[in-house]
Amino acid sequence: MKRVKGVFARKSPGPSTPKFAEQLWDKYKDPKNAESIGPEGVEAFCADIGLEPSDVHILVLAWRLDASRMGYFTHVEWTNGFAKLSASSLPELKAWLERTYQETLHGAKAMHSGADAFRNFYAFAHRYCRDDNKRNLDCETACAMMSMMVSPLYPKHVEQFTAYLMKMNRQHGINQDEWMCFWELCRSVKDDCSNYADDGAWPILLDEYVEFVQQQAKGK
Amino acid sequence: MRARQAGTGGAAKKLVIKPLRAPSLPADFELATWHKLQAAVRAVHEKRPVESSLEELYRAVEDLCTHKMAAATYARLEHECEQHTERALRQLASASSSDPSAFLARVHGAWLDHCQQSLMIRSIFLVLDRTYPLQTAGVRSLWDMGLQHFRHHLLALPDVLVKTVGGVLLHVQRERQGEVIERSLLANLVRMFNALQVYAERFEGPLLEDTAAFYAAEATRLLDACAVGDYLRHVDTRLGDEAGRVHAYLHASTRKPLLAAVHAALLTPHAEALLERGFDALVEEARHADLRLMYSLYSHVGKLRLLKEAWAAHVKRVGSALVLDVEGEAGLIPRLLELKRACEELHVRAFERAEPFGYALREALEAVVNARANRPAELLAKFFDAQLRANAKGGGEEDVEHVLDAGISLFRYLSGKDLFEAFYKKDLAKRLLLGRSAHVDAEKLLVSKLKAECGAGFTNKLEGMFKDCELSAELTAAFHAAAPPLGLSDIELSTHVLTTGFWPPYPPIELNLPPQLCALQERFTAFYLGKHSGRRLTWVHALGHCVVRAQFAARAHELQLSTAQTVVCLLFNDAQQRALSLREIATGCGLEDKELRLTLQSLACGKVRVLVKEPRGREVDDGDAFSFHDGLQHKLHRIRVNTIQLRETAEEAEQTELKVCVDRQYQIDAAIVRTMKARKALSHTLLLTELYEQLKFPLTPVDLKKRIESLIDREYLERDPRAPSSYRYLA
Repeated sequence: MKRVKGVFARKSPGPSTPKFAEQLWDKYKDPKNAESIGPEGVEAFCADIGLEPSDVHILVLAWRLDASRMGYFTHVEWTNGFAKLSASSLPELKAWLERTYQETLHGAKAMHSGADAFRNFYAFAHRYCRDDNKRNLDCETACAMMSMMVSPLYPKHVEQFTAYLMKMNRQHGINQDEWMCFWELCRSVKDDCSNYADDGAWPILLDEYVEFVQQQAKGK
Repeated sequence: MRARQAGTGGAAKKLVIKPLRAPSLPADFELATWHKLQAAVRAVHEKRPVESSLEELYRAVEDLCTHKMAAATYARLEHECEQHTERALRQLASASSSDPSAFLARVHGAWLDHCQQSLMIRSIFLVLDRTYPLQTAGVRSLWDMGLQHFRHHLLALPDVLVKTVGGVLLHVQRERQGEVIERSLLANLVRMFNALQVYAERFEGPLLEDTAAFYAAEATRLLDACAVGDYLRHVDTRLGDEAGRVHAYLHASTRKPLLAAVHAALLTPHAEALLERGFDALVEEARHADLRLMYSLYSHVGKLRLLKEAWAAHVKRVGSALVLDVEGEAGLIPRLLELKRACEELHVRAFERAEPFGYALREALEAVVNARANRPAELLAKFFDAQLRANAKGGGEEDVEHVLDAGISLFRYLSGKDLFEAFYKKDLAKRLLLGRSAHVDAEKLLVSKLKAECGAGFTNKLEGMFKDCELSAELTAAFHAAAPPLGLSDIELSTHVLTTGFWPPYPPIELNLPPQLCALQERFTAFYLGKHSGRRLTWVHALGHCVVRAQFAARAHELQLSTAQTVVCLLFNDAQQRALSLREIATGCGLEDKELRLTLQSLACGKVRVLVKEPRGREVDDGDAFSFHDGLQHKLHRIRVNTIQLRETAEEAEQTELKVCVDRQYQIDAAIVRTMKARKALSHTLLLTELYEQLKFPLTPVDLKKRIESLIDREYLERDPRAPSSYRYLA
């Protein structure tokens, strides 16, 4: 995480001013709770910057600010996070978010460590989206997140995996390990799963997914 | 020469010694002598009587040799013999005879003549034969010289040789087809081939080719026509015939390649087909002789592996069918034992106790016993239970031991030994506590056998159970000795104090004990805690039973009841012949509803009806009323009222199984963590290998993967980000 931040810090023209962060904080903070920006604040912020709350760029912001809870930012997260990004106005912030997202996405296609940033982003999403005190991300959210994050890169896998989860009607969600392994699978296995090396270590969920894909191919 | 002394008066004579003068030979000595000999040689060749006496001829040769004419004589003789041999063989070649037998006879005649004549000539020229070839390098003895020329001229006439070989082979063929042939003629010809050194190169090859072709044709003809056993016997007969043939008229060196050719034609290419076609039938019909023959034949052609595999496959197929037969699973264990016995008998009687076959059998039986998860373990435990139960029919102690040994031999193959233990323990507990064990000796014998198989850890708890029983007996005696009569002396209490953990868990039953029993129970508790302070006693009513005296209209009976039944029955003492409703009974005895209904059903709807239910029926309903059945009649004094044991059913077995499965999960988790803690990082494959070594119950990779994933989720492990199929231990 640290290393990645370093990469982007060098590229940015200069840190954002603490003043800008404070301005935004004062504008959007929860009137009932001085220590956080609540869902309403986030919605207002989204409207002002011109993005949907469900837009991937908002997720990028949450990731860069290392937010711990969906729909909320704490003061510490807000100020520490803004200190590391370069923007002193909303349009600048929006541009920075777009650039960061593009760079992350671009890096993800590389097989070397350039993909680490996206991997981090992806891992963050599981942590960020799952309900409090739960280890698993429910399937519906998982599918939504996958289609938002992974579809631009590996649309076929996401489509098939979503179909598989729907068919299985899986109750107990996706745990962190399965979530991360799906990303590894997307990167290393072809869309039709023909080169899936069953060395035994893949989670059972993914074994079954591959079987499902191969069955479907046979069915055709 | 001796000097002679002159007479006394005579003048002395001079003694003269002259040099020795060799007698001069006549000029034509050599030629004349040779002519004499030549005439004799020709006479021999033409089978005429020799004119000169043999003695004279012998001397003549000796003279020639003495006068250093050996070389010339040898050369002349050689020339003479060679010419004759050539002539004789040409005669053979020109004699066109269509009948191979006649031709063979002629060849044989020529050969015999040659031999006889050579011998005769050698006798005459014995001195030459004994001196000249020995002293001169590169010159052969007369016999060899004769053979050499015979061979040379025979080879120069390929027709003769080919015809001869062909004739011999034809005879062999005829004999194979069942005709009687003149074996001595063949023997002589073969000896001739051998003497002429054409056996190996001119005769053996065609013989083997012929053999191969003959038997290959025979194999295709017979394979479909006759049963496998018959075919094998036929092969064996053929092998015997060929060996006899070698003995009778072929050269001993041919034995091996000839038999190999038979094997190669009759057996090697058909080994698999034969197994496929008839092996199962042979085993099923227990045709040990045929199978033994098969074993010995296959061992000669190096196809034992096929036979072994076929056998293992057969055992697996038959055995798995038994194990997977859900309908007939009650008799599974005896049937498996019978299968095993049959296999072992076969192993001894047909397969010479060969080690690889033994291994294959063990492997196959292991696969059979574990063909179905869990159930065989349960059935085996039940099998032992049936043997050890008091009412088991059975012979003497030796028989029991024999049967137990057989059972243990199956137990050895069982991979789910923990499951077996759980079921066995349950049954053992029942036998011990309800006094249903036939012989304690047999029980202990079996435990010692299990100990020998699996070590002390496995039987620790079982032994603990025996120990508990022994201690309890002592304790009960001590309690009776110490019990001061409290007006309760008519109630005799016998207790088993069970150590928690050794025994299977029993569900607690809530009930209100009548005051008499309560007092007794309290006294025992006080007595026990007085002996062993700091312990906790829990009363397991589910296992208790009482003998109760009851006065019926006809006579008094003793009723053997469970504690719950007793509590219910005692309520009717206070009821004064009145009927009690279900609700009243429930409040009186404090039994849980389901348990109460079962108890009432056993008392009022079973074979022996101590209570009468109103209205009648098999089920207990809410509005039913019960009263004491005064008119009970039974021929026995002591009556056992069976409890209805819903729990001794599929549900209970399932629970035991479930418990074992949960235990297994813990064991897997522990093994994974232990291994990973020791190794820090390990690839998936290596980890699985380690686990399979450590864990002694049946496992699938998926079982293990589930546990690994669970441990990753609980952050005991993580995947190595650099090597996705490796794990790292998280301290």
